[in-house]
Amino acid sequence: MAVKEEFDINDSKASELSSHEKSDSNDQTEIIPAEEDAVEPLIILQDEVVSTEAQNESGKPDSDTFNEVEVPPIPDNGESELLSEETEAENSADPVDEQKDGESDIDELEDDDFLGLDDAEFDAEPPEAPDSSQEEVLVSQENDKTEEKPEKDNEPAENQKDSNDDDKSSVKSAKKSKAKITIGTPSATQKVVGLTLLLMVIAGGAFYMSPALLGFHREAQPVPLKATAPTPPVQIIQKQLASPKPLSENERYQAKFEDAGLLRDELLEKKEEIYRLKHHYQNGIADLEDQINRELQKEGITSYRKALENRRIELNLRTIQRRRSYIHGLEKPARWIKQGSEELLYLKRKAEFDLQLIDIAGGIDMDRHMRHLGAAIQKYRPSAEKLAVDRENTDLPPLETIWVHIRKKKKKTAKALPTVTDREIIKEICTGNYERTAELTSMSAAAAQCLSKKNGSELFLNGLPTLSPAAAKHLFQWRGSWICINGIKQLSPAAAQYLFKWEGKWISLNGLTEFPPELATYLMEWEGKQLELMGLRYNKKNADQKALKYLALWETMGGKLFISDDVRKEIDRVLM
Amino acid sequence: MKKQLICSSLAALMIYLLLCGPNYASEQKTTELKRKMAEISSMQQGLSKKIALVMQKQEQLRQKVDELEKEIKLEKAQLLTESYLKAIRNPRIEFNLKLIQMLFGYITGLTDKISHFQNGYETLDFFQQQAQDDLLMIKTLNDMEIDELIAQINSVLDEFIPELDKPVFDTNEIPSKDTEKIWNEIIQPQKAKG
Repeated sequence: MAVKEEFDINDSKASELSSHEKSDSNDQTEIIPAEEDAVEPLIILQDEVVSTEAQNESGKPDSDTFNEVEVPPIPDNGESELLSEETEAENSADPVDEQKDGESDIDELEDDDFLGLDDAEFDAEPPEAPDSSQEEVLVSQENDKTEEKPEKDNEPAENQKDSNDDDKSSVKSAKKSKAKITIGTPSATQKVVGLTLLLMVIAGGAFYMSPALLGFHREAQPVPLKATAPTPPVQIIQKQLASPKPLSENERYQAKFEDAGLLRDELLEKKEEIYRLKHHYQNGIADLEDQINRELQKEGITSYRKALENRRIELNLRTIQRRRSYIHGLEKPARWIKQGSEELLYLKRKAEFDLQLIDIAGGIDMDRHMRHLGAAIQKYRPSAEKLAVDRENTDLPPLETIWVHIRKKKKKTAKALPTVTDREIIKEICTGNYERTAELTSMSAAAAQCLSKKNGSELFLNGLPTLSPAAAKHLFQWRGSWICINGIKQLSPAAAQYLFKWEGKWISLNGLTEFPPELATYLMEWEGKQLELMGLRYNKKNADQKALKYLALWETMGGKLFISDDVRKEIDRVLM
Repeated sequence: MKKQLICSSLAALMIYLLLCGPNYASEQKTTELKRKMAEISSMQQGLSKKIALVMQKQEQLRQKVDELEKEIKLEKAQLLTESYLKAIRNPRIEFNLKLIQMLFGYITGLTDKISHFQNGYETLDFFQQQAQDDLLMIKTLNDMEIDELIAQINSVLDEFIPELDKPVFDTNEIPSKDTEKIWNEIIQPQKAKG
């Protein structure tokens, strides 16, 4: 029989009742008229249940199967007692519901005469599996609502009243028992509802655990950090900042060494800047001096007073004055920087030497070295204050002094600082263009290295006033025959050592005014043929015959010496 | 009968002791000598390593001194002066002289220690040879007085074992040479050529 889930209260219940009763022989429940349910309390006894089962099996109408049972009076709180009796009866009884067909239960529930519940009550209460407590509730509700009837329930109940008056009493008892049975056994609908609810609960739990099933995604929970310390904020990285990780001692020392090295490099760069600036001013002064000289020549000015009357000359003189003061003012920061760079180098080297021996030597205090280095770094870190030129206290050279200097400049030798022209010439030489070699007024080691590659047999460098040992070392690797350096007034022993190792044949040193014994000893090693020293002057007051002897000795070894008459006489005298 | 047995047993025991006693003693001395020889070898190995390490450090320091002297000479050539007082106005010359002064002291300390270790090595070598010879004597003669040798070996070992672990020298106890003397020694070769 099909399961009917809805109650149709308008149906005629008498015929249905009878038809149901007849068709389902196994069904133990009966539809009881609602008015009877509402009027009298439902009392279920175990004996009735058992007798009902027996009678139903025989196929007799339900009304005949129920025996009349004395109903005990209902006490004031008798619901509990009654309910307890009912529950006892129920519990002891066989599980009648198990034999039932769920469809028949639903059919009975649809009838308005169902004793257990009103429509409203049925809808309101949760469709749970019937148990003793629920049955008590149902019973109590029925007892409470004896006078409450929905109109729909009343109408068919009223219609049946007239026809069922005779069987009222017997039906009552049967209803009671059956009602209890009805309440105790969950109907098909209840089962379905219960299953549905259970499925909903399970589904709800599943969706909660994995909301992705519904298309939802939980917010990403923050991953707990393993590190206990919070991450530090972003900072500007500076070379002096320490690493966040604790450094080993060696790493700490190396870091300090690096700091000192970096500062020293910075100081050397600054030193180079100052040098270039001084050179810039020097070149500017040279240009101004040329302008003044041209102006003097053009205007025919010979005196200082007349020169000052010329506005252009005066302004140029003042500019020279200012720039000279700047050059002089740059000496102080240049000295400070040099001192700083050398001190840093010294402290760094000292610490490094000790660090090298720390594993075998005792008494080495590296912390003290680090302190000294730190203090030096602090002291020599360049700042505007430390590099400032004191313009107020700088004495400006008088204009007249500058005027005199300009007038004598033609007689003086060139400055040691390479001029702009020198730089250009050196550039040309290093690219292979040796046309302006003779115009050089200074020689660096790099320039000498380039010049040593020159082809040819002659090299004229009469514009050089001095020659450093570093430049000499490279210059005298030139493979030629004749070298002219007549501009040199004084030659250092170190430079002479390289000169007299030159493989050429002819040296012109006519600018040399002194030839000390140190140079003469190196001359003895030279295998050249000719040496010009026309500039030598014999100094009677400070006569050193040792050098003369060496010169004489060299001549006897095959060399040809070109000297002045005075010196020649002295040599002859020494030989005699 | 019993008495005879006892007497013969005692006699045999005495003979055994007389024969084997010295053998036992010589074995003991041999063992001890061999042990001491092993200790000497181990100590010599340690000393060799120490000497090699110290010589390496010394060579490194000498190279540093040479580099510093070259710098001084270069600066001196630019100054065109041989005067010490004028030279030390140049900060590079002044600081390099101080560094050379320090390094000379270190080199002296290392040199002293090298010779000390070498003496110890040779002494141990001497005792090693003696132990070897005594060992042969013991093998031949079954006995040899070695107490004195053992004592001497122990004395040397006791002297040098702590030396291997402690610092070679103390930087605070090194001799300090005058910087002017160092300057004169640096420029002296140039004067000699002149």
